[in-house]
Formats: sequence, structure tokens, C-alpha cells
Amino acid sequence: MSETKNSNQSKRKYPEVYEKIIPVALVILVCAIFLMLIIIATVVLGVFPGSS
Amino acid sequence: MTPINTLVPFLSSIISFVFAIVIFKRFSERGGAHNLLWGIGMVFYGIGGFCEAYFGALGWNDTIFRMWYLFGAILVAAWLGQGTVYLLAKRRWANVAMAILLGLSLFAAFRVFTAELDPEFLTTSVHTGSELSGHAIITPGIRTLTPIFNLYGTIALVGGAVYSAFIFWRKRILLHRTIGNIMIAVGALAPAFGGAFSRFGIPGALYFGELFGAILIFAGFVRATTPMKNDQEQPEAIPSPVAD
Repeated sequence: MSETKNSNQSKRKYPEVYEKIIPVALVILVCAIFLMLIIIATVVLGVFPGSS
Repeated sequence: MTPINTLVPFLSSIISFVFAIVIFKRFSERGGAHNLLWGIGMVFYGIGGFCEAYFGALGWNDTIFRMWYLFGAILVAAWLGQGTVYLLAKRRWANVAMAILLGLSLFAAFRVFTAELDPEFLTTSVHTGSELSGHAIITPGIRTLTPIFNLYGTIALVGGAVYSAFIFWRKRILLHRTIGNIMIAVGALAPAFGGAFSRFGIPGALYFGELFGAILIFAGFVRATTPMKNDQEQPEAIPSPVAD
């Protein structure tokens, strides 16, 4: 029963275009978050332009 | 006065207030601390945009500047993020975070409205869409509050939306919520990157970032709350910034 459920879950897919776009978007967003955190950190440390 | 430093932030303000009304209506119908906080956050967003438009059209005003710095620069991301915290975190921890945020917000309001200002310290790049900045605040210690609030807001709002999108994507359910949360995450990052680009002297980056952000967050919210034809299965309850 549970195997059947797992099997169905793994076969479930989004439309093809979203299958390609969404993981790329998620990776880009995670990178953007880290970049934003670095920028905020540099502002706090006073090394970012205009932060002094 | 130019379209960039008046019309663009004014449009952001209008969109934000309309979105706030939509969320407050949702709150009145369904309740939920997240809806209330998101609505308050969008009111802050709208106030920030209005103050920028006012500054662009009519120039320096002491009270307008203080309101812009408090609501637009310090509070908006953190209060929007707190709404997401109420959806993704345990209620007890969300309440603790809310109490801290409320206390710090009141402290920030007191500091901003009692700060000594000098408009001469604003950037000289007038009418570029990046002229408003915290440089006008002379009193030390206030500007260090801003990245603390924004750090919390970025992690909570953007991180929460990305996390939710990832959960839906991994389970391949509710495509509209996956797309909606990605749009919200991009929209929430747009003003932050706009502000960063502004510091590098790109004209209008902040105000366009804010406009783009308001549109995307609003559109993401609508997308996430409107099922698509492809969504065939209703899942068990999964927390999401717009899951109810």
C-alpha cells in the first residue's frame, strides 16, 4: 500500500516547462539570498559603497 | 521632479495599498496572524513609496523623511517576514519573535523620530531615484538598526517563500503555489537589490526595484491563491506564506 503510494508520488510531475524552470529558479533564488546576506554583512561592516 | 523619482514610487505606493486592502479583506474573512502582518507590512511598503514620491515632487520634509526611514527602510521587510514566520514556525516561537520585533520596532520609531537630521548629507545625485538615504541622519547608532531588521526580513520572507516553493516542488503538488511563492521570493528580493544597485549609482534602481517588487509580490500572492487547471490533487496541510 505504502509502496504504491510512494510510486505514485514519484511519478507525479509538473508540466514539462515547469519541471525545467522551477529547479533553476530555486537555485538562483538561494544564490541571490546568499548574495543579499553578503551585501547586508558588508553594509554592517561599513565596506559597502555609501555605507560609511 | 522626474517620473523616476515621483511617478514610479507613487505607483509602488498605490499597488502596495491596494494589495494591503486585499490582504486585510482576507484577514477579515479567514483570520490568521500572517494575513494581518502581511497587510501591515504592505501598508508600511505603501508609506515608504508615498514618502519617496513626496520627496521627489516637493523636496525635503522632516516628518516625511522620518516616516520613510522608519517604515520604508527599517520595518517593511521585517514585518512582512514576521507574517511568514507565523506560517512556518511553531506558534510559540512566532509569538516570541513577534514580541521582540514589536519591541525593537518601537525602539526604532523612538530613535528615528528623535534623531538629529541634516538634509545636506543626502547624496548629491538628485533626481536619480536614489537620492533618499539614511545619510541625513546624524545621530549615531540609528542606521545600524536597518541591516538587522532587513536581515531578519530577508531570511524570513524570501527564505520562507523559497522553502515553501521547494516543498511543493519536491512533492510535485499545487503548481500554482510553487509559482506564486517563487514570484513572492523574487519580488521580495527586488527592492533589496535595487537598493544595492542604487548605491553603485545606477539611476532609478531602488524605485524600480520597489515597483517591480510590489507588482511581483502582489501577483505571486494572487497566483498562489488561485488554483490552476493542472492542480489535480489536494495535499495535506503544508505551511506556505499563502497556504490558507
